[in-house]
Amino acid sequence: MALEIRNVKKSFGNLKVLDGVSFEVEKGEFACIVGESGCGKTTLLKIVAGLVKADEGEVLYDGKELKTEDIAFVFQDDRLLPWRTALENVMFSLEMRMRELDKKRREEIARSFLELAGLKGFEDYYPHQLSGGMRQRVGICRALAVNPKVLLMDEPFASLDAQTRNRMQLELLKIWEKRRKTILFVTHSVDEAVFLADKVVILSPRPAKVLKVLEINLERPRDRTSPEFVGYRREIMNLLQGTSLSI
Amino acid sequence: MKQKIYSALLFVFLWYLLYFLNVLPAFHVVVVTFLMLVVKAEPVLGKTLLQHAASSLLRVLAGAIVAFSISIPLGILMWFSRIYNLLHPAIEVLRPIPPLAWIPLSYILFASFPNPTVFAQIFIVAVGAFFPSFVTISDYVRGVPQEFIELAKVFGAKSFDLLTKIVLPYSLPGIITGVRVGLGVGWMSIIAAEMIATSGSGLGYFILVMYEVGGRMPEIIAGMAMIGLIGYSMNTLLFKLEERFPWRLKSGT
Amino acid sequence: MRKSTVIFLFLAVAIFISGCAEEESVKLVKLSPPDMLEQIKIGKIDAFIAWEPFPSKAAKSGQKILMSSGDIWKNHPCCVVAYKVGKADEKMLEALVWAHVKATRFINDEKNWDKVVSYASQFTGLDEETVKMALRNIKYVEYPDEKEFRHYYEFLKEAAILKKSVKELGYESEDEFFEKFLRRDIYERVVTKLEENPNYVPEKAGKIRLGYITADLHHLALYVALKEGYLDRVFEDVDLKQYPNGVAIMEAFKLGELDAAYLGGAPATLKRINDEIEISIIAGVNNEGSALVVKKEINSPKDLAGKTVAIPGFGTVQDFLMRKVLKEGGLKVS
Repeated sequence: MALEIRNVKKSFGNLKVLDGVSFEVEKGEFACIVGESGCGKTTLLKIVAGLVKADEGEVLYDGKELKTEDIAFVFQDDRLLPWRTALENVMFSLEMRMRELDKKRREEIARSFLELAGLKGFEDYYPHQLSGGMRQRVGICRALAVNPKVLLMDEPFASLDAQTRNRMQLELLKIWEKRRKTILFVTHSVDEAVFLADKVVILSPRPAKVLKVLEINLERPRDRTSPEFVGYRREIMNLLQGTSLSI
Repeated sequence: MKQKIYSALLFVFLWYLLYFLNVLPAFHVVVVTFLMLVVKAEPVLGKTLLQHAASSLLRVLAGAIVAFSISIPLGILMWFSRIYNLLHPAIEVLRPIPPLAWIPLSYILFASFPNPTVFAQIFIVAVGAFFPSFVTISDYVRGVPQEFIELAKVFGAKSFDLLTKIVLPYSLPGIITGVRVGLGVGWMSIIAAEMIATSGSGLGYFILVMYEVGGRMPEIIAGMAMIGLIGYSMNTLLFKLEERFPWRLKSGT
Repeated sequence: MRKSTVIFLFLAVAIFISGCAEEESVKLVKLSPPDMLEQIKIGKIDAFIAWEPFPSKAAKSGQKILMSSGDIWKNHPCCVVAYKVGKADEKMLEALVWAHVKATRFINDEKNWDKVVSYASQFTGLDEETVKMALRNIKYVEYPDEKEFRHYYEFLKEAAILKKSVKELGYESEDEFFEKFLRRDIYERVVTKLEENPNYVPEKAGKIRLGYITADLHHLALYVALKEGYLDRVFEDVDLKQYPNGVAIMEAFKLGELDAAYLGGAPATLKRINDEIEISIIAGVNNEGSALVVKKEINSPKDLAGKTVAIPGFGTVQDFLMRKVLKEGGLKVS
């Protein structure tokens, strides 16, 4: 058992957001969390990241408390620093987290990740010169570069158009297959969850509880039109019935 | 471009209208006076317009350097809420005092200095340039998006990293805006200060003496044109520099 | 963008080069006479030229008088009494000239010396020793010599300080201009009447608004006329207004604040022509009475090269005298 989320509770004032969320993710497993918009998915992710403190419960990795330095985060907005080039943005996480490395080494690592993400040749571009998909890939590289135990992704493709989004999902899987990280991926798209995940954690509307943890036993690359795929989707949709989910 | 030409033509047309109404000297007379004054010393004060401009500019630069060497670091430190809470009320009280209102106080402060007028003038420019630049910079710094701070914290940034790797680079265009706004106010302050205190040179002094000696409307307008030209150039140059930062907050010219 | 940058840079370089290129010349700065005394003491200026009693006061506190204005230009006219054309009527002018002549004659009467010294001391706020020294440098007169007076005009014209010709003001010739500008008729009428009858007093006029310069010993006749009751005998009401220098008085004339004033002949001429402020001169006040004060180490006008000299204002009598000194010493103004 790698990542354990145990009975996490969180309220903001009188507003109860998380009401005892528990689930587990294996090492190297790709887990998606789906739920209605505003159900507390992002709060849960921030608790896992250590950015927000839980009122109750704990987050463990290999039986010990998961620390901020063990994770890396990919945000919904690309959140690249506009005064840094793509390469420098990837180096930013290394500067913060791996202070022992010299500049040359940091640059080598950053370059290798950009190459992995298909961004060779764009190292010296500033964020405003890159497309939305490229920017998001730089954000992923920045997170992977620090070699985190767990990669947290908060609806990273939500703001991209459908085509780019599908391409990015493939790209992400490609990267993940090369560097097997434990991924916790929040999305409100059931389609995205079924396409990406080994395991889907379905949350109820606020206050959030785990409705079900569903293993997706499909070969990758997955065919969105196959009856099995549609079956998984229908099952999740039924669980989330009455909520405003996109398909 | 066409718009600019029309605008210039309208300006000259209105000018000649005022000329025929006996309000202003003819436009071409002012232009010729301006050009003559640039190359030839004016007889009453014995200096060219460029020499007067140089005196005014030197004073502004001295005052501005003093102002910015305080307003930039202090403005950035305003990122810390504790410092902000400490300084903000005091700044808000001092800020509405016009730079010229500091003149009498500055004379008393610098009375024992070897050259009180020069010190007082530099002080007034510094006061004039400090507040707008400080407020612009601190507003910018206070406006650093929380998202960037969160990002840096996720990757383990310390307080000092936040300041040097997020707050400072994010605020760079704000610093340039602050310098631009501060220089603009400083430039206005020095011209006014030169008109109040005897300085012996400078564009403000020049137009005042031209007024005193009398009969020199073209010289006065030429002096004003020089003031405008320099103010415009400083503003435009810094604005062009600001535009190179794609993440800058939009600010007026 | 590229082109405008080049232009800006060019302008900036030109400005700084011209700012640095200062040849050996004298820097004239404008200061009020009380400030001159302070600043020469702390060494901020190297010399100043001002009206009495300031040079005498400086001499008393250890500065050196390099030349009196009589040395610069013997018997030069200095202050005058002028009135705003259209503001003052003939009755008022005759009354004013009468009071002025009476006061001037009072000052010039040896018998009154002690009283004059005491009036001078009250008027300027200085001790009697200093005002005695100052009084010796001033010649109180009743009307200036026209030939000498036109000297101002010639100099101002030559130095390009005058911006207009008398033709532009609507006069046929300079002679015609001066005939109108220097009105001798009132003075002559008053003097003739006084010769016929030394006890003559003109008809009483109404209110007069009269300007003069702060603590300018040249304007002592005004103070005497006030203290000896001459003004009260011919005016129902006298409204006295102080100004820092002659240029300020001309501005006040322009704004219609004054009917008549005591002021320097040079600013009167300069602003009469440059700004077309319509005034005429009806009496003289004094000849000479200014001096060039220098720091100890300065021994001749040539030593002023590269120094800072204070004048009470541009276009004043003292500015005029200073430029004369510099011109004769082969120095330039910067």
